[in-house]
This record gives sequence, structure tokens and C-alpha cells, in this order.
Amino acid sequence: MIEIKNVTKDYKDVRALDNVTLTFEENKIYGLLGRNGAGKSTLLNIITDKVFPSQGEVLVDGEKVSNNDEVLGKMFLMNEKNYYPEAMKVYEIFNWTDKFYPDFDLVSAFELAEKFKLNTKSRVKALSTGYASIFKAIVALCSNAKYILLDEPVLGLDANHRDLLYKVILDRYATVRRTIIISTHLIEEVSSVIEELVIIHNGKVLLQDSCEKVLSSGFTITGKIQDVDEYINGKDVISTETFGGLKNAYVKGKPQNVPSSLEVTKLDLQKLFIQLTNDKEGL
Amino acid sequence: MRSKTKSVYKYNIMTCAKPMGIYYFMVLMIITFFVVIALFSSGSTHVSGVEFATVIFLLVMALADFRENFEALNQYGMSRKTIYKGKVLAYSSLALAAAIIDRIIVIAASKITSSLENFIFGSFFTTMYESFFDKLNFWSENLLALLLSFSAYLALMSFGTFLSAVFYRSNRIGRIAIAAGVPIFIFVALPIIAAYVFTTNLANLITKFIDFTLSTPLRTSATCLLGAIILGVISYPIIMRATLKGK
Amino acid sequence: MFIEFSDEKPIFIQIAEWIEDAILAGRYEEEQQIPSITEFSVACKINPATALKGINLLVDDGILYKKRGLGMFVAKGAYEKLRSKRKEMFYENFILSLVKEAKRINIDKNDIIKMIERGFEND
Repeated sequence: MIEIKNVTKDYKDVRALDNVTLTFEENKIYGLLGRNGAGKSTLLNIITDKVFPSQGEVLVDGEKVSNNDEVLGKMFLMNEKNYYPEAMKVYEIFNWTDKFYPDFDLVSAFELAEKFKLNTKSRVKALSTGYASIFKAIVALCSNAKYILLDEPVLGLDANHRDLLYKVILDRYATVRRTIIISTHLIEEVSSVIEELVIIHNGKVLLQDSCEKVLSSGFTITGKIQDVDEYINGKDVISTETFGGLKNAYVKGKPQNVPSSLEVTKLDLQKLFIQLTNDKEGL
Repeated sequence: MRSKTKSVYKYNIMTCAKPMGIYYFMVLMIITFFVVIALFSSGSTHVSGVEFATVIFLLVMALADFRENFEALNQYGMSRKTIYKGKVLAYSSLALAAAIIDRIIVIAASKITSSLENFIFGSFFTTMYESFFDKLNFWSENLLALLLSFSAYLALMSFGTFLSAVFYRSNRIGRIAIAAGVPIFIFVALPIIAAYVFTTNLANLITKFIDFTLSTPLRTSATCLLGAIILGVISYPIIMRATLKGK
Repeated sequence: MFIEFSDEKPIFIQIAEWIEDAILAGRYEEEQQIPSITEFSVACKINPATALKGINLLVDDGILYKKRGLGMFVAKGAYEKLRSKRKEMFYENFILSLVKEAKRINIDKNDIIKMIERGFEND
């Protein structure tokens, strides 16, 4: 279990994290969602002792992370940025990771590289953004660490590779249960993969709940503007949008007594997210 | 050695092995070049700078190595303490290895070229303390030279690491200050200070100090070792508070 | 195996319905093994907890059962059970509204039966 207790992180003039208290339980897939600059990377770097918190502490399985090799070895962070030597070749980094993470699955790493058509003989600096993500994700997923933290793992990947990567994550998760934290701003496609949802915004935790609970906490209603307005009158509405005489409303609660002229679909996570994290910028 | 420290140690050795290999290949090429020149010309050649070149090389290597090394080992989930320990052990080994290689080069090159009358191959340190080394037999001479070069190499690697750790921790302005400040201090400020100091009573004191620390090979190596240790010790807290930087 | 998920229902219900359809279509026979939670999870890109929830719905209904260490199997009598369940749903979803509409526009029972026969012939 990873416990984050009242963690605040101040950079020179920005508060990246503001009194964050969070728990990541064992053997679950978490989605850490937030807009760019919400504090996701900072949080992951603090959990893995790569950056120090200004206040608060992080406990992993009850132990402090700082300078604790044993605890650090239980975690693997795939950083969004590259921190591997640029002149090193992919297979060399596979081999080194094998030295530092005793449970590293070298065979699977090469198999996965082949699946993604990642040339293990290319140098890190020669990889495209997409292949750099793939390479780092493979290293992380094959580390077999108890806690695998992936920071923007699908950055620069095309649709096919994204699809494959989610499948690989689920496959690795199925073979050995562990905690996987996926930080991303691409919510919709990750929503079926994750079990738990954490939304952070401006350095604060806005929401932590099971993904299914969040999805069933509301619904979408679509129909003619007038019909929709009539139906949502007095209800807890998250947001609405209109287009070409039709109106979408995102409503909290369970759909009841819906007239046949209206269509009910499930809550749109992306819409909920945008609503929650909207700083009233828009058009 | 604990297994993680061992892995960090190996990582340092393996990543430094390549540049060191290239460096020694170049050294051998240069020596060969001068020997060839000596063979075909009548002018005499005197080569005695291998150790000095190695000092510069190791300093630059330590300077260049720090950031990439720290960040990569950080990715591999190593704690700062383990990164530090592994580095100290690895650099000590590398300094010793370089000292041994240099000794072998000096001995071998001077043996091989002894028949050439217009080619003299010497050692930087034995030339520096010629009168001292002249009195020693083969084994004591080489052992002492080995100790001296090892201490000097370690001191410079320590200095390089300290400097790059401070550099890594500093912000942009701090980096500019270090990048400009170090050469300015050494090449501009120091001579001015020296010129000023030598006209005062302080000169005596400084001469005495230099005499005390560097007058014999043993004193010099003790000074270097002490310097290496001090720099190593003050680098520790700097590395312990180093954090991963955004790129 | 490929399941196209719609937005209208929770994914775990759609998983359960997909298995039901497969049993009714004869793709999985009684006493035959169905794909594992992992296979559903990876192939459909869903969290295994979601797949498990869908499968558990069918276990509770007696459609599927678990063989220890082997996996999930289609229970004996599952086909009949599903057929009568779907038959009941068919009555509720189609017949009731058909009758209601027929009454509204004055079509009598015999006419309906004739229309149904015509529908079967033209099929």
C-alpha cells in the first residue's frame, strides 16, 4: 500500500501539490487523471523519492521511501521524460534493468519489443516519441515491481499501439497481480482499463473513487432542447451542451421516469472530467 | 558489498570503461607517433606527460559523467546513498586502474625505447621529484609513483564529481556563475592574488605551506588523498539532496 | 472474440449478455469452457474486475459454474434456462407492446396471427 500523507510541493513560485492525502491499495489498476501541469508527474516523482516533498511524507508498505533501497526496489517509475543515457542502446538498458531489478523479465521484454516492432539495437536518442514511450513502458512492465507507475505511457503512440499497450498492461497485470498507476490525460480510452480513479487538479485531489461508481453516479440524456430542459428541471446537472437543436445534459443520480422522447446513455467520463477541472477558460 | 551497491559499482565501471579505452588507445597512438618521428629524424624527443594527461582526462570524465549517471541510476530505483557508495568505490578502482596502466605504459615505453638515443620517455611524477626518485630502487620507485598517481587521480575525480554535483544542483544563474567563475578564478584571480601576496609577508607563509604539503612524493600523495576525502565528504550532502530535474 | 461495447449499459452487463448470446447461438455448449477472465480482460481491453463482475452475474443465475483450478464452464441446462428467460423477455418487450398497439389501432387477434404467419413465410 502506498500512503501519501499531507504532501505539499512548492517550486519557486508555484505550488505543484497542495496538501495531498491519498492511498493506493495493492493489486489494483489506478488511473491518475489530470490536465497538463496538474501535478501528476510531481506526485509520481515524490512517491518514488526522485523529488522531495516540501511537506508531508510517503509511506510504502508502512516504510518511508527516502534512501530506502528495499522500498525503492518495490517500485518502478516510467518517467514521461527520458533519463536514460541517450547513447545507450535499448537492449543494453534491458540488460541493466535486469541487474537492478532482480525480478525483471528479460525474455518478455524482448518479446514485447518484437510485438511493438521496437528495434532493440537502436540508441535511445534515435527513438521517436512514440517508441521512446513504448520502450520505457516495456522496461517498467517487465520490471515485475510490486508497484508500477506509468507517467503518460501512451504519449506519441498511434491508435494501434495504444490499443496494444493497454492489452499488454492488462496481460502483465493478469499474470502477476500488482498495483499499476497510469497517469494520463486521455481519459476515455483508459476508463475501461482502470479500476480506481484519482483526479487531481491544480495540485489538489478532486476525486478518488472506483471507476464504476463514478460512471454510475450519473447519466447522459439527449433529446430536443425543450424536452431535455423540461426533464432536467430541478435535477443536479453537471453540464449541458447544445448542437443543432439537440441538447446533451450530464445529470447526477439515476435515470428515472425518462420520457420516451429522450435517450439515456452512460456518463461521459471525459465530460465529467472537463467539468471538474474547468477553470472557466473556454470560448 | 551489498548487491545493489555492487550493481551501481559495476554500472559505473562499465560506463567508464569505454571512454577510458578510447583514451588509452589515443595515448598509445601518440606515443607510437613520437617514436616513429624519433626513428626518422635526428632531433631528440622527450615524452613525459602521460600521467598529467590522465589527470586531465579523469577530471573531464568525472565532470561529464555525473548527470547522466545520477539520472540513469535514479531510473533504476537506486537510492542516493547507494549511488554515492557505488561511485566512491568505482572511482577508487578506476583511479587505481589508471595508475597501474600508466605505470605499465611508462615502464614498457621506456624499456622499448631505451635503445633509441634521441627518444626519452619519462614519467611526469618521477620527473617532478627527480632527485627523490633517483635514490630509489626499481620496486620502491614504481610503488611510490603508483601511490602518487593514484592519489592525484582520485583527488581530481573527486573534484570533478564535486563540481558537477554543485553544478547539477544549481539553477541557471548558479550554473553560469560556476561555468564562468572557475576558469576566471584559476586563470585571472589567482595570478593577481598571487602577485599581490608575494609582495607581502603572507608569501612566506604560503611558501611554507606549499613546501609542507607538496615537497616530497609522500607528502603530495597524502595531500591529494586528504583533498579527495574532503571533496568526497562534502559532495555527500550535495548528492543526498539532488533531485531529478525536468528536461 | 470481439465485443463492440455500447454506451448505453455498463460494460459488465454487456459482457454477461455477450456470453448469453454465445450460448444461445450454440458457440458455447453445455459443459464447455468459456474464455478466462484474463482472456476477456485482454481481448476486450477491460479491467479484470469488470469481466469478473459480468461473469459472476451468470454464475449467480446458474448459467455458468466454476471448476476449481480449471476455469469457468457452461452449466447443464443453461441453454434452456436462457431460452426461457429470453422468451419471457420477448413476451415483455415485444408481445405486450404489440398487443397494446394493435388494440389502439383496432387490429384483432386473428389479424395479428395472420400477420405473424405472413411474417414467417416471408422470412
